[in-house]
Amino acid sequence: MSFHAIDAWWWSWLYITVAGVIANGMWRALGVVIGDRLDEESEFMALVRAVATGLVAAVIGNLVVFPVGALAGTPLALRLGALAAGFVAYLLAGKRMIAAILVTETILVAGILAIQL
Amino acid sequence: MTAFIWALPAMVVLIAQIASGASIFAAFLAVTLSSVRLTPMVVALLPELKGPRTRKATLFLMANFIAVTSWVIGMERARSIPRDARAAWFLGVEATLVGANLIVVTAVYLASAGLPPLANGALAFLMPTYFLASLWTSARDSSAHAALVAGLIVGPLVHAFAPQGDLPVAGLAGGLAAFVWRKARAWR
Repeated sequence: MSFHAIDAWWWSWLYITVAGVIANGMWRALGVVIGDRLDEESEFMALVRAVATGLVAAVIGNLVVFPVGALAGTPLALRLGALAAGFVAYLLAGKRMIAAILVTETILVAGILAIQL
Repeated sequence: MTAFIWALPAMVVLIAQIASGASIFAAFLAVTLSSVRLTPMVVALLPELKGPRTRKATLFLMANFIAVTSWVIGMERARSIPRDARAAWFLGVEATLVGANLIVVTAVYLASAGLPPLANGALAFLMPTYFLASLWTSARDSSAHAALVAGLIVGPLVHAFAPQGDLPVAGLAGGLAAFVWRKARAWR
């Protein structure tokens, strides 16, 4: 039952609908249904928020430590250093996104160019 | 897919499952685990956006296009918008993000083969940079920052040993660690 198991035009659509749209969308709908019934300040909500934040952070960590494509060949230290420097710049600039992007990208591109020379 | 599933991690997980030849059930489970986080995000944000006359259908529509970017914008700025106008304002934010992304995704898809690897790499690295900064901005207290740091470290560590179970495990470990840390601080 893999993505390429059935050679028909509707199978890829069904696969993406079930494993993608429904698997993703049902949690949004649940969020609406629970909506205002839950106390936003409760301990349980604080726990759920912390788990959600940890999960998204894990996505970020994996993107940096295990990149795919063009970044796969770059040194881990360069990627970590570029991200860390950009984050410090973002904090120093009063939580301005543009500072993180400019510093991170400058270090990353300069580092890749320096290695290739 | 951008038009239907408005969540980058879910799309990344789905594509990884397709590429690894996973069955439709395994892919469903993996995407489900990556999407659970949306429930608390929706629960936390919608009360802020709701006006006295906002319909349920509007809420479902808004919920389907909440992602890290629009969530951060909503949590940050909704309070400065009059309550009656918030739903319309947020739908405008979402429509702008979705529309701009469809254009960018199409353009990058067409151009990426011709781009030099350096440009591809620089573009790809925008993602973690932006996510990290925006997630930090949206945090309400220091326990969210602790959860962020914990997930950032635990995620790749778990991934190195168990690539399939990294996100749920790292999310739980990171989130629980932060929660325990918060409790410990409160008792002191």
